[in-house]
Amino acid sequence: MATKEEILAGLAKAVIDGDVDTAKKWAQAAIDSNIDAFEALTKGCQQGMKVMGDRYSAGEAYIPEIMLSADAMYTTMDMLRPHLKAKAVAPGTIVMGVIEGDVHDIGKNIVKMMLEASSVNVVDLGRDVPIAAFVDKVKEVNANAIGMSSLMTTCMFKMKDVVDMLVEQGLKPKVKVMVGGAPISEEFAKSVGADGYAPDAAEAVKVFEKLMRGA
Amino acid sequence: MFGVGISSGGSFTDAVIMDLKDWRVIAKAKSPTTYQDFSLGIISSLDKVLLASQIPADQVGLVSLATTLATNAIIEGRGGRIGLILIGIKHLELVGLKPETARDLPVHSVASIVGGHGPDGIEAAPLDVGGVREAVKHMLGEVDGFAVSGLFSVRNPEHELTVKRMIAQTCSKPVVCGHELAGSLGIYERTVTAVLNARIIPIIERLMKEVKGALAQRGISAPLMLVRGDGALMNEAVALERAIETIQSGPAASVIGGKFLASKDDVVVMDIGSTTTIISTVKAGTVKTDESGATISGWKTRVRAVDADALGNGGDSRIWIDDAGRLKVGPRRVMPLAFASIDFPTLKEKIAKSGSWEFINASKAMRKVDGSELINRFIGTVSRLEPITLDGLKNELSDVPVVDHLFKTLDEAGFIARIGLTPTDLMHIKGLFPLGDIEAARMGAELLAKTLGITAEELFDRVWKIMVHKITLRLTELQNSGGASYSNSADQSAVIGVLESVVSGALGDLKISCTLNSPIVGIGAPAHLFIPQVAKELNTEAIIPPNHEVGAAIGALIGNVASTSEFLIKKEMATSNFVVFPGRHVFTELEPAVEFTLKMGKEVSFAQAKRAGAAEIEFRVERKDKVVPNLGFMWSEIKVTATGRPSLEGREK
Ligand code: B12
Repeated sequence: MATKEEILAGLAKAVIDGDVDTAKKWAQAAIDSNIDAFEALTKGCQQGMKVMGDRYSAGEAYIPEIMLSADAMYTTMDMLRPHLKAKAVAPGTIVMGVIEGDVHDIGKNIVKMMLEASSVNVVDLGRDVPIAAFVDKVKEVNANAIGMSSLMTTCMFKMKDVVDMLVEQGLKPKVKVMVGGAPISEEFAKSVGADGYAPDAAEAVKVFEKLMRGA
Repeated sequence: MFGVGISSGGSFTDAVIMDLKDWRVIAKAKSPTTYQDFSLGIISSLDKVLLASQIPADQVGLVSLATTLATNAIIEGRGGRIGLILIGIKHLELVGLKPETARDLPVHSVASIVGGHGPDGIEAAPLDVGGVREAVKHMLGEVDGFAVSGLFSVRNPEHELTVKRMIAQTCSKPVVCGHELAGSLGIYERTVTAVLNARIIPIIERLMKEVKGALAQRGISAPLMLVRGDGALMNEAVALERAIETIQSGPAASVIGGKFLASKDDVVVMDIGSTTTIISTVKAGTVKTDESGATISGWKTRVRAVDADALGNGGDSRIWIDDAGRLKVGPRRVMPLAFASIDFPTLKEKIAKSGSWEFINASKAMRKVDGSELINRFIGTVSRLEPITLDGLKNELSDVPVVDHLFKTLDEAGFIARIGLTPTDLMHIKGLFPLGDIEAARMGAELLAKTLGITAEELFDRVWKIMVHKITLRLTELQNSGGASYSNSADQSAVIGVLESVVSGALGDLKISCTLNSPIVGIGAPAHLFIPQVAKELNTEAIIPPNHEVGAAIGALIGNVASTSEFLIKKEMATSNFVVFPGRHVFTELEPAVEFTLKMGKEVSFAQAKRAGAAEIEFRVERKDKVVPNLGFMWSEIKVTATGRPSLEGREK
């Protein structure tokens, strides 16, 4: 049987290669060896995606390859999801989505997975979500929070528009706003008027809990 | 030239006349406030002060008035019938228009029209012009005025303005747009502000007309100014458009008067009035204001107003004994025995006969009684018997089984006026307040003191201690919460608990004391009786300036005319453009955008200040930039304020 290190490295490589079949094999290995599902995702697959990002930046990888990597990543996510271990947090409903103009939804989906594993009710609007849709959904499902994700510096500013929408309609102090995505910083989150920021999915669950507790 | 400042709010309407060159007080006067018709008390105090000063009418160059009329009208639910036109609002409950919200907006009819803008000032949906026409046609015959409120109108007022133009083409009734009175986000607050403003325009109009008429009769042609909630002044033309901005003008005038009389830049102003003690802070010469907007009668508005804390303790607070036999003061306001005895000449007899110092009477507040037979009978009996004790009333209505319940309900709804012993009465006994019936006050005080087994003199001391303690505690809480931020409410209540012990000296042998860093200036007639002791508790200086009893009237006169306009410059990342709001003016560079904003801001606020009656106008620019590391400039909030002394050049046409 493969060691934990081998399995994590295998997952990363499968994502880099965009090889769905191998990714499935390593995901099954992770499950069989009782490796923590979240660790398999973050220390395995996500590392592979990071390598692809670096290659893309360096002009060594192209969009079609990255799309294959994303497929591999989603395949493992589907397999690992039922094995996520998380304790339930303060109950609440969060409306999540990737902001208008942006289709990068892998990160948002990992956060969603972790929140759901922690018994949070997530209403997912998907990607490229128009700003008004967030607020309308919040009204419709009477949500306690909004979670916005953006991976593109050109789109993340729209988060401020969503917050403005909430303020204009008097929903702001009641509905908490949480933001994330690679280019987002704590400072940026604060400046758009968000109540919480998290650099990764594990932290996102903690931040959500804190917001729901009103601390 | 001389100026007359009038403050009409508490039990008394105060007037001063000052030399506009050196701000010397020439004369001062007081008249009872006439709540049924404010103008009577105002004109009476004006006459008194003119007479006392011996200044000829043509030497009066300015008359300025701080009045709680607008506040009272809103609290009492008075005002015109308003047609509200909402633009682009999908969820009506967000603007207080659904049964599940606590209170409905006071509007006669509402139309919800498709349209409105987004946060980027871009049209969210085209304005449904046909719908507007239809709605206006329906409302026209039924309403006295209109309020128009659209989604994101502060980013782009186009739709509100279009509706306003359309209404103006069909009638000459007032039309108030949300963006005209508020520059910041919050459709609910802007709608409330526009609706209340439209409602009270006729009320302020009437007051101005009457006061103006009285001025003309006396040969005074000076401009008449109204004080706003932030202490600035506006002339009639502007006050008629922005009547709502007079709410909180009483506290505003008193803090400005206090700051002026103390000649200090850092000071806490306390105005001890008949109903409340108002506490506000001046730092570095600037009066603290609540930028998010004043709340009135439960409605949150976007009216900028002084940040004044009103403690429900004043001269007319009820002195009473609780179930455990402890002496209490306030928070309920009652009519002092000394004054009630003047309105009801039989009062002293009734005190002697009943052995009670507390009476009830039907409130004069003009409210519609939704007349169930029982309620009518109850009110009828109370009115007929004039002041009566609660026990007396119960005897009279012994066949009404729910009399206790009725009393409670009507009392809470404000139908019952109470008469009782107050600090004002005690001041009468001490000879500190010469206007009322001292004998009635003495009878009440002696009865209450006897119940407690103490002398009237001891009662006086104990009531004073309670008042000083309450005011001191509230002040320490306020000063503390102004500087501290707590991670949770448990921490906050712990700190308040400690403050309470410090103020009441209840820490045994451990002596902790609080020191207030700025002096306290006392305004209002009884200020000299309390403030020195409060200041002593807090190791600071008490300033009781000459003319403190008319401090608010002075504050009404010395304010400046001001007008502020607000702008937002936002960088739009997708295009790298800089967009100026309201209106969406697009620039490719930041500097030209800022220049344009300042130029437009100065033009707009200059024109508004001039219209409001300002001369020698100066500008103040406040700019807050948001710059994030690695990302650079994100946006800038710019406020341009134009201020100037009131122009003395006669009234506007
Ligand atoms: C995968 C990928 C794609 C895939 C996306 C597939 C998919 N379904 O998501 C595809 C191929 C479609 C793609 C397309 C494009 N991409 Co691309 N893409 C990437 C890449 C390589 C990885 C992103 C990723 O998935 N990371 C892994 C996840 C797990 O991490 P994460 O998103 O950061 O999420 C974590 C945290 O941020 C946080 N989090 C995330 N969301 C939230 C939300 C909340 C509420 C909270 C609390 C936390 C949180 O938790 C997550 C888990 O820990 C990045 C490069 C990189 N290094 O990031 C470029 C990158 C994001 N892409 C980029 C670009 C430019 C593009 C394209 C424009 C390319 C083109 N010319 O067509 C298009 C954009 C299309 C569009 N309109 O959006 C640029 C963006 C540059 C910029 N201006 O910001 C990057 C940075 C590459 C680069 N270096 O230039 N891309």
